[in-house]
Amino acid sequence: VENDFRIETVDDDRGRWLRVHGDLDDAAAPALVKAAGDSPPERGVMVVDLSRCAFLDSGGVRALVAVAEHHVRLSVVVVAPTTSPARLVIDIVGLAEAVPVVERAGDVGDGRPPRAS
Amino acid sequence: VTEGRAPTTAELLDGCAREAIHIPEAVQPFGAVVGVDAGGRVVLWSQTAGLVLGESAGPADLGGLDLARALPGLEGALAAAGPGGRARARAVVGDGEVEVTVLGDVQAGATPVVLVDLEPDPDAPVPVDEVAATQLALLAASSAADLLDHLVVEVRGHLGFDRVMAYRFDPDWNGEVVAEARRDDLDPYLGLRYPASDIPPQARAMYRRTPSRVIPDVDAPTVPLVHLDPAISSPADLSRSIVRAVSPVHLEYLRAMGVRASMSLALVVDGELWGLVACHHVDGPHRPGPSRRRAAEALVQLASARLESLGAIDRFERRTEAGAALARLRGRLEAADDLLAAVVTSPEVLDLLDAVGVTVSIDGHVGSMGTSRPVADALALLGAGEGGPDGVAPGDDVEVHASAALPAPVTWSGPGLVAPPGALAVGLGEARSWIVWWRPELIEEVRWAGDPGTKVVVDDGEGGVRLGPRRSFAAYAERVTGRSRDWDAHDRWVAGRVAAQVQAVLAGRLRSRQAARWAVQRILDDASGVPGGVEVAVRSQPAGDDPAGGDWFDVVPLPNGAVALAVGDVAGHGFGLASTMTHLRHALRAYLVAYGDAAVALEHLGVLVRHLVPGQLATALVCVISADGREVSVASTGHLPPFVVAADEVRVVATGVAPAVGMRRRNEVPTVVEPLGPGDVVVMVTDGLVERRGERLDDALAALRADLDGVRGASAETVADAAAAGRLGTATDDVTVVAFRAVPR
Repeated sequence: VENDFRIETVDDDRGRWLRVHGDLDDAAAPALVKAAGDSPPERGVMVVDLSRCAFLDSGGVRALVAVAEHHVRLSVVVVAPTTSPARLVIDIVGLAEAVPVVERAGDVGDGRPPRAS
Repeated sequence: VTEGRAPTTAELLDGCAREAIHIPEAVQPFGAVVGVDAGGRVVLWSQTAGLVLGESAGPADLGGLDLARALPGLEGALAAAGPGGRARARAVVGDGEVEVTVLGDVQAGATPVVLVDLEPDPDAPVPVDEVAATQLALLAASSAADLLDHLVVEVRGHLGFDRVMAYRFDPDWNGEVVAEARRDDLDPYLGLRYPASDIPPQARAMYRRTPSRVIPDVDAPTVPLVHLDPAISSPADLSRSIVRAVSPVHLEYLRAMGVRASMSLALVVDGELWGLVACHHVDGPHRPGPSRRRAAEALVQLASARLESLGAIDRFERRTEAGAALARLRGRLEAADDLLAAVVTSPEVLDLLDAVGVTVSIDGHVGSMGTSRPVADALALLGAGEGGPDGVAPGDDVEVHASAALPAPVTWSGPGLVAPPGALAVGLGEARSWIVWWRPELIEEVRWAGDPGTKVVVDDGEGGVRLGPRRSFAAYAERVTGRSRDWDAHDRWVAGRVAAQVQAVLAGRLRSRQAARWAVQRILDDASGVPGGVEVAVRSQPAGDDPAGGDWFDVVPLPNGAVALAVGDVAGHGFGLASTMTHLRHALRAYLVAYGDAAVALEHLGVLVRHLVPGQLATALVCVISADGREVSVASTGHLPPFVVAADEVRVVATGVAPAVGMRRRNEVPTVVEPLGPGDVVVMVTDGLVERRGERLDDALAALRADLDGVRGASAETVADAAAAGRLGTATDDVTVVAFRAVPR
């Protein structure tokens, strides 16, 4: 968990993996939407990994919903371990009702970790 | 000097500063002073007057002499001077010429006595053309250094002294030699400093009255004054007299420096003594006559005027240069969302003041840039307690506190070996709002003309002691540490402009924020009033600089006698949110009145958001307290659950999970019915109350619950205070707390 916001983007044969570092708040939300929407894969997964995310607010939640709704042809999944700071917020706002939320990146698809294509 | 004990050095220095140098009752022998009454009769004279006037009668017998007859030209000069005025004339006496200077009245009483200086002049007046050529050269000088370099050469040319120096006084009245023309075989004095005590305050004041002083021979015996009637003319104020006898301390000082003859001329700039042109002769007595001195005085006066105009040009140029940077800064500040962050990230703020760091406090929020000292050091400089200065109004007459030598802090862990000793502070017109700039240490090697700490105590020859000047003028190098470059008038002006800009932006924001808050508050207050049977307490606060946030609350009486209480939070920030917020709030109250059910109302709200404001996300919590006050029905869409503060416990109502409004097209919202005991208080909050960067939300909720545990059994107002206390101040998002309980109708 870090405080400086940044997004690591990895595209591989299964889709796109976005790992969020730092605070995903209202100010950072546009960067997430942009990272997801910048030449996205045509099929496969769009994984937003919040295990390194230090802080999530309603503006960040809105961005996660926006990503899911925009990329309807992809399987959008949010990774948020039960112990992560983001998870309680995700549970309270009921994000799982709109986007699948899983415990670990390994729970996505075939279980392989992401790897640059 | 006090009887019975030796005087301290401080007492002696004080005595030196109080020596009455204007009434020595004696003159130097190179000229004479006479005093004449209204009838032109001589009533006081120096014993040299007879010699100057060529009177054979002898020095002691001038009483009652008709001076006008003895001195052709005096009558014209007296007439030109008028009562109390001054005038100058030349008179032929015997084979030579005498310069006659009417100095004005020494007495304001019934018997005015006019003092007149008389000095033989061996030279013819200097031709105007000769002075004019030099004047043109001085006017062409483009800098103070260039000007003074020219000036000392020209003054030496006219007066013939071995050494001519220009001194400049610093703010503490220490003098530094900034230009010098000298005989080739003499040691240079350029760059040496002379301590302020070398020219005591009354001597400096004297230069304002007589802009030049001449001592043709430091070893010449002084000549006493003779009064026809001491009752009317004694002691005579000789401050304006060029032949006035010199303080023995000053003569001793000159002798110790190896000077036999001297002259000094005042450089007066903007009405203040800026410096001196000091002339020394070392090999023997030297007296340039009045004509030559007049020419030198004219040059020094012109140089003074030129220094003044160069200063004005310099001020103008520095202000123009600063103006461009100030304009850039203003643009940055006005465009910034976060004013404090903008101030401490704008490079102009440091550049304008040539500072290494800045500390800014706006309403108690502190930020800094570069190498800055702790806030406590800033407050100490501001001379204020915790709160900072009150009522300091920046502008052209801004209150500025500055120091070049702030004491070092006990410990210093910042960059560099020492904390910046220079600090300039300015208030921003409100308590707890100020800016402090920091300047680094500037270690300076000062070359004093002799160790300034070595004045000596000498026998005054009359059974007492006094302070003598130091005996050695060997250059004494002092390493000055713990000081920054001085803050000058321009720095103060710039600081005032920066402060005024920050204050103007602050004031503008405050006005627009107040207007927006007023508008939003009107909307929120537009509830139909709290109905009987329910006590409601609300604490709310928009985020930081936002005029209005996405939070709302509502109290809606339902047709069946129940009362619905709602809080909501639209995701995001900024003024546009207020529009979405009011939209959702009105829709929710309409659904609540129409359906009378919290969960159904929230389900309809979800449909409305997807349909009319797609892309928006909001959490909401609705509690409906039954008409009998015994239970509360709770429905939540993605919102923090409510607390029930009962007499014996604080519990969290498990609301079940329904996602935030706007997340799904169809939202099934569960209802939880919670029984209430008499006096139980229900607390609804928005996430702004508890979410903090770097703190886990569950820890924050546990802390809130613990605070609520401390007010079990209290009123809704007390419970709301317990929830808000200590949290509103640290919130970065909108905060809303609604606490309510049933009360007997």
